Amino acid sequence: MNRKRENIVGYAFISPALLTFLILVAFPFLFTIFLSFTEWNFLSGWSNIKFVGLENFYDMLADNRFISGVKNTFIYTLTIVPISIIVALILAYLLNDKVYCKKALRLCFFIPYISSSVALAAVFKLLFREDGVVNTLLINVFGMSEPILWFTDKHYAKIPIILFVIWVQIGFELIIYMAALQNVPKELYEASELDGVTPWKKFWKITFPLISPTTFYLVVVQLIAVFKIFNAIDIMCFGDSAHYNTSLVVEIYKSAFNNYKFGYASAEALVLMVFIVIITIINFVGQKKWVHY
Amino acid sequence: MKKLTALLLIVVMLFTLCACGSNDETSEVAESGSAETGPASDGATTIADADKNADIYSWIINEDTSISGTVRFYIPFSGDQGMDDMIAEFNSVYPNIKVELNTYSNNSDGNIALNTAIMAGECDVVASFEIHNLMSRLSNGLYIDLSDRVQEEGISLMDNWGTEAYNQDGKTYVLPCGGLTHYVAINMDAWNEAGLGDLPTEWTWDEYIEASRKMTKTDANGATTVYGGSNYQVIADLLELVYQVNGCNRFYNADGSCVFNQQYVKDCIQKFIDAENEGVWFSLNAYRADDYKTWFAYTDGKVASTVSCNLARFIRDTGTYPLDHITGFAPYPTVEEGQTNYESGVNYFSFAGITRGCQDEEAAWAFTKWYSTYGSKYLTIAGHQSTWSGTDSDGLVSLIFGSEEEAAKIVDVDSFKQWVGNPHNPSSYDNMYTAYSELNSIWTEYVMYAYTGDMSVDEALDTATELGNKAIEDAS
Repeated sequence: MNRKRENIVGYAFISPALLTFLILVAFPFLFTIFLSFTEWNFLSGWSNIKFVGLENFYDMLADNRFISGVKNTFIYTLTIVPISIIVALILAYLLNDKVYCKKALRLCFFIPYISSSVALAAVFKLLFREDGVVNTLLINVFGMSEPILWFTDKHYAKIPIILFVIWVQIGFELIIYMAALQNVPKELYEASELDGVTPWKKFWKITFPLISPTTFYLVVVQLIAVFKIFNAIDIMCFGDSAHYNTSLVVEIYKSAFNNYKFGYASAEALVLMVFIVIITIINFVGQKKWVHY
Repeated sequence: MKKLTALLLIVVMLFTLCACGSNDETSEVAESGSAETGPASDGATTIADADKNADIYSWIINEDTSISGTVRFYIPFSGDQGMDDMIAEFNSVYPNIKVELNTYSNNSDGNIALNTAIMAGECDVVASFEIHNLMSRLSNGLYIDLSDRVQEEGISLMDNWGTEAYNQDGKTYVLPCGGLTHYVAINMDAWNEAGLGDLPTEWTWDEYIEASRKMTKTDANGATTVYGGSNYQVIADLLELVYQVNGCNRFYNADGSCVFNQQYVKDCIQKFIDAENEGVWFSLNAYRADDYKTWFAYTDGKVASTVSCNLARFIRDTGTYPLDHITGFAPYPTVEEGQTNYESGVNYFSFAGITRGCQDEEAAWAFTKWYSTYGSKYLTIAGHQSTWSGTDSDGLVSLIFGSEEEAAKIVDVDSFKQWVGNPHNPSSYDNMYTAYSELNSIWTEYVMYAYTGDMSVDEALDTATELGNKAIEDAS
């Protein structure tokens, strides 16, 4: 078979994957970049795309909702990612030991992750209603005088979202950590016990460094996931136009599908992508100092 | 070679996608129908102004009622909310036209899904609810121009629906057949227990708040157990008070500028917030926090009265919402005593038209004409009203509740007839639409800041006005 023919066969083999990639990834990505410099409403057809240069990006600087979306997204990220990873690690460490009903407990923690986030968010919303379980507890057990309006009070509006996402994410992180913990060589623990090392030191000096690649993986994955937080807010804060609990993706969605500003939404999406890329790069640079392969 | 093949693949795909997406008809209609232009000012009348002696019947039903076809009809109401009955009556006239009812949610997600369906050619007739949704569809050419048909058949929008205000550039795209009335629904047991006498035929916000104060119940600690009153849960609807005062255009002053910082608007919002803080009105923040609705608050017994526009839909369903009291009705309160109350009549709210992807235009037109006239009375079952001047308003009570006797077990029939969907009362209209959706968003956001206490009413509405005027200027 000559080289040309070989190439054609090669292209034929990769064409399904290549076409899928081009249609579903490359084209939307490039089109989003293009749209971010335009003003366009998809209902009006292709011919009404209007080039506006950097105007969308300038508008963002003066857009309170966008700024709140960015601010809140960072708050969600800085709370959800460390808390969920620390709690998952503690639970995994405990469950890795000899405990009763280990499998049942593991399942309990994992179920939220594989359940419908829509249904779970709806349940959470019920818990945090004005007359919900949380307020009932706070009033009757802790003597609070007034119920909290969790989703509209600016001081508390983010708490139900943060708790919900942590609760859902812990299942996934727990399973990953449990797998990682089982791969830590037992001899190291036995040797440390012979040396009389305390449990805390055993964890800090042996376990933590050896599972640090897993921690790094979880940090990267969860940072990206939380940066794209949408479902929980969209479902739990349905109809709320205040921006106490909004996020960047919620604002992108609202710009595109509530206000039909697809150019502006694309510009916001581009900014989100830049944030994610920068943070991921920082992570990869920083990991050299604390991740042990 | 590799680079060239990859480049070719990309170019072919881009052309294919562009070809699939382009639509010449869309572009033309979109260009010709800008939402910012607004209608002619001669359309500024209301349903009460329609000529009662005009011929509004002869054009509705085609000579040939045996025409066949399928009509895919989209409206936010389900079959049991009057639409099955409406379609059944239509089929008694046009037995060969099959109407497929599709219920969409009248929220942003539901409307975007509907717009996508229209673009995909899956709809024939759409009832658009709320002006901003209508404007969005008109400006993007999602409805076809009905002007020629309207002219050929001699249909007078004025005589039939009392207005030409919802046209664009002199062209007719929709028939404004559905309306809403805002009123105050009252638990008559609470009203009588408070010794408030006869139901009012006119009252101000101060008087309504005072009545709410008297109907409010508290526990031993002074905490409110039943709120005397409530506003409607939709923040945009707070601006019904502009309709009430001016008789038109909830977002605009007469000169087209933003209305938010008018002193009477500020005063009223402050009154509403004060009534909530005092514990005599149910909190708008609580509605928002729990996605709670006024009809639930009323039927749950949490409020003794509420501003509403659709309560009839719920209280007629005695199985789901059993009430142990009669519901009375009072007009939407006025800002000042003695004002004409343009909120007491039927205000335009829903609009029927044929979409650009329509498959069977003749069947769709036959249905649109019928729905916009005879069929529009069925909107009352869902708590809305018909704006067609031929609708027999006396017969609506029986249509909604079964009979006047049945109605009397649920509502105070006289006050219901007087204040719920009475086409003879003064009503309002819209003829300014510049930056309509943006103004809606700005109002909703900044009023919320006033309600949450983040801003004073003055500060919030002044800021909203500044942003609103900028949005109007940008769009002009």
